[in-house]
Amino acid sequence: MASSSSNLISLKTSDGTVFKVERALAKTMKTVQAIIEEADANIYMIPIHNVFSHHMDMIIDYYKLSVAGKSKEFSVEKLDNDELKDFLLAVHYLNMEDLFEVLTQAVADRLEKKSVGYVRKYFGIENDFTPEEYAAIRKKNDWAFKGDDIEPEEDEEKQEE
Amino acid sequence: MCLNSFLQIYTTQDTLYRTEQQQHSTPIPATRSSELMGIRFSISSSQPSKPSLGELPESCVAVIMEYMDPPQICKLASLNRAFRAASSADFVWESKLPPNYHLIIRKIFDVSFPSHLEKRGIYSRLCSLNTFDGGTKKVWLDRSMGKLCLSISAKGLSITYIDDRRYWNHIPTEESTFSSVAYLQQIWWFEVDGEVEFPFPAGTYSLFFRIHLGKASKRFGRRVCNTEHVHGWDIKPVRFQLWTSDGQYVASQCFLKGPGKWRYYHAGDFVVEDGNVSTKVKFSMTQIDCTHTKGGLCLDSVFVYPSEFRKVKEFLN
Repeated sequence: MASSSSNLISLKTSDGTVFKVERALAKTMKTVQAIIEEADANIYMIPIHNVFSHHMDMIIDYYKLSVAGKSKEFSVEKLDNDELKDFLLAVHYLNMEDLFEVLTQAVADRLEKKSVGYVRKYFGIENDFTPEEYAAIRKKNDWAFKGDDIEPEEDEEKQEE
Repeated sequence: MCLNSFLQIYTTQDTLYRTEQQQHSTPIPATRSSELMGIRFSISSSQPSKPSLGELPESCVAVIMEYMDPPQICKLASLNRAFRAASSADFVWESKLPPNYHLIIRKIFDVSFPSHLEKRGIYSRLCSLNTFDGGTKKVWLDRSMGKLCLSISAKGLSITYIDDRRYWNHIPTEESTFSSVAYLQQIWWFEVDGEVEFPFPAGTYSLFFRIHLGKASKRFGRRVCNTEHVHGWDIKPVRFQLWTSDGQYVASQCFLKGPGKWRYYHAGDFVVEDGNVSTKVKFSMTQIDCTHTKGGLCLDSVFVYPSEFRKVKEFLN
């Protein structure tokens, strides 16, 4: 039997808050959509792991703006790098294509023209290479910085992971 | 699109529980965001100890890199393994290659072009100065923007009276990407023609003649410029013309000046609508007023650059 408010879907975030969202918004979350479609019984509440209520607030903001044709007004400038990364991971988990593109573009913009040292420091990325691997990757990518009068490297085998 | 997570749904009286078993991601090439696989998360929903971009899965990083320029992608490949793996994703480099790169490869490489190259390798290969047409032409992609550039050596041009050594000589040089330049001692009829047929990617291109008034040489390791034969260029301007096979035509004229330095003289622009067909471009530079002689000029080559380079590259202004 369909629940009385069948055009609303209940989503429960990791911090225990329940959001009732329109079906249309839930449809933009491919992860949630897959859960709904696979369920035999009617779903009353869908827990969404790794998504917090402040993420849902922003997701709902974005949805409202894009429905009004103003998705370009959505901004993540106020988020620091860690918050942006968390939000990106949440949206990635929910598999929301449009918002994912917006956030990856935002991260790319923050990384643009920054040196490796800066990116490593401000985004907290640890170097997990061995010294040999590090030297090899620097050498392999040298061509991108050289002038035009350089011979191409022979392509090596795809690196083993 | 598929998800690498398995759902087991239990129903009790009123609430629905779901447990998720997640597959650990195996090392796979990153794919486009709509086909994301191998989502890597800690199972517990408690706060991670110190969140960082370093925990982004490879597939996320690859999508981020799609928005970067090639030098940045290569730089950040040295951050960590996920970034390195993402930096070699085919779809990232496919977006940087010109859309018609298959045609370009076919035009400039013979069967020896390795077919197993990943897209990054193709990009890298196309960025070097690739010689074709019997060594008279070079073509390359600009490394940071992936835009096509082309040059035609003096030996690939039709220079009127080139065989008459009273007028013209090919002289060796270190100041060109080709091994020699054409030096004009003195002439009445100055005419240089040329043509090129190439699958230019769609866009607008500018054609330049790279010219040096005076003859440069090295004496005791220092560059010396001999301008004793430079004359006649200030009397009348030279005339440039450009034609394309689809009917574009542009003509202009200007005075050559500023001896002692290589200069790029802009001959005109042309537009390529469709990168799937070869565009044929003819061009000429003339000064055929026979009331005066002119000479002392070195002609290196003709360059074709994307027009947007005129704003960005100092040497083209």
